[in-house]
Amino acid sequence: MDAGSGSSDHREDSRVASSAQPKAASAATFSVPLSESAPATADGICVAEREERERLRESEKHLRMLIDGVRDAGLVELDAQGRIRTWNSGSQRMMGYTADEIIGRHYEMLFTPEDRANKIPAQLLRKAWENDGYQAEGWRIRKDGSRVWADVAVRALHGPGGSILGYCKITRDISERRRSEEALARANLELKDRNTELEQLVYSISHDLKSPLVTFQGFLGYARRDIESKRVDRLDGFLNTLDEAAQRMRRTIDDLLEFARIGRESVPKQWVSVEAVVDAYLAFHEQEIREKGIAVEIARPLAPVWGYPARVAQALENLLDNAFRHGCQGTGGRVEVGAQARRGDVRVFVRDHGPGVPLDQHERIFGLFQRLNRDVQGTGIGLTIVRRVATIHGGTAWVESSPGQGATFWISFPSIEHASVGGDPAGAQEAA
Amino acid sequence: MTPASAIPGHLVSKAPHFLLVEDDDTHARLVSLALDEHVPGSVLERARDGRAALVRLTRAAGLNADPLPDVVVLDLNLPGLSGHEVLLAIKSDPRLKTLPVVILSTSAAESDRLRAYSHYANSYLVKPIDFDRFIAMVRELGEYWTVWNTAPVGAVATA
Repeated sequence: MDAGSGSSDHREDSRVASSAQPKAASAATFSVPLSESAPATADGICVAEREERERLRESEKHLRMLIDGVRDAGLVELDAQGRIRTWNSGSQRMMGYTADEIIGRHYEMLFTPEDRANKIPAQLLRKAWENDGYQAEGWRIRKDGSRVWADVAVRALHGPGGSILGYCKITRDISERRRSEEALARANLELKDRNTELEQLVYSISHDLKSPLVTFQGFLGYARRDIESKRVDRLDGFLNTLDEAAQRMRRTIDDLLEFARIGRESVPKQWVSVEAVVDAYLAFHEQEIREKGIAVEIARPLAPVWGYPARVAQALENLLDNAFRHGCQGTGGRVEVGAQARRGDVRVFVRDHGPGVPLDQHERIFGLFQRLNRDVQGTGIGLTIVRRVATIHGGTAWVESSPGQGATFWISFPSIEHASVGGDPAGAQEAA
Repeated sequence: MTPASAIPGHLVSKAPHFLLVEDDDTHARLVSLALDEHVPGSVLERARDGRAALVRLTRAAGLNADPLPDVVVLDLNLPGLSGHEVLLAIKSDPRLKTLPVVILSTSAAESDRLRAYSHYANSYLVKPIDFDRFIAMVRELGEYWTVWNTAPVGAVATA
């Protein structure tokens, strides 16, 4: 601080001296009256001037105290080259350096290495000089290496004849504002996504619930006409068709309700044993698997995941259903299951050796009511549920496959330290 | 059996051949029942998804072995390739683009209609839920494309 105020004093002195010069000249011209009212001292400076200088010094001191007392803004003076000349308590609080540590050093040390490489520190000063002031936001580096998003206003201090005396710089830490702006933008984007999702949902539902109505009305119409004309040979078939269509519609509605429930969790997250879920599934479907001659390979041990038990089970069961139905058409077939704990997440996979999924269908099959093969029973909601379950945990679901090579479906769950704590699914977004 | 509502025989110049691209068995059956009854002599060929339809059409266009259908009746919501993609493939294939394609979908959404017409669908029909309307639609579809509509050339494949 001393070095700063010292050099600053020097500048102030020269300014005082230059403004005092006309006075000195007049003093010389009107020496007699002056000497009468204000007696000159031995070194030739009159008392009034000394008092004036004292007053200025006092005022400067107050101003410095005031500036130094500003705690929530960094007020810094730079010399013409950009070296730091003064450093207030707000600067110390924001950046971590004491005045002793930083005064005399070039202010570019406060910038990020990228900004330094791009000559941003010098550009800022030039812009301030050209435009009589400049304001910008950017990253600055604290003493401890952490980053602060700062709003920086720089003004050039012009001297006589267009020279530059230095710069004063006001820096405010707006990291918090930036964080909330970012959070707001994120929330906005998320809301937009949800809106689009909802629109697609309404579209799909209106289509997929209207479609069975065409069937109902059509076959009821034919059945009625046959009854009126006493024709009986087709009636049984018509009624069976109606029955099947009604059952399919019920399954669709059940699955849709399941889908809608995801994300409204009443049970908090906990450790879920993937092994227990897989074993229960295999036990329940044992006969079917045996009859179809499907080989099942479990890469034990299966890592547990941190999540909502019912949802994790639902997603895994859907992936297994998918592998046994789509991946094991005909007889034989092989299904592999694994769960690997990695840094940051746990990835569960279910691999089949069936017909596979064409590349252009990799994303689409996760969409609502999107199906690859009509011959395989299903409502087209299973994989949509898998992806939704992944999303509410902050994870993802995807497929790796090429036609004829089988398919590996993955679902990832963030590790416990990367997952949000508690039972609030909305918080799961923060895990990303 | 030829009910009174069937197209009178002297108006039918030739047996119309439809390719119905429809994944829903029950809807395909309804179309088939109505065509049998009201458009006598018509041939209804069915593809259960978009890929099968395109394989069928390009094979016909390439080898000239199987004749091309007179009209493709295309559902939009199909497993795998969507109806929109099938339509685009047909209309961007120089050998197939003059083939009339009628969209037959449960979707009345503006986005679907706009997209279909901008890919040069020849017509867009929304599947009626009401039985009588459904039957009437199939009958008029048959009548329009067999009695009234004239094809660009005798055989599309040679175009």
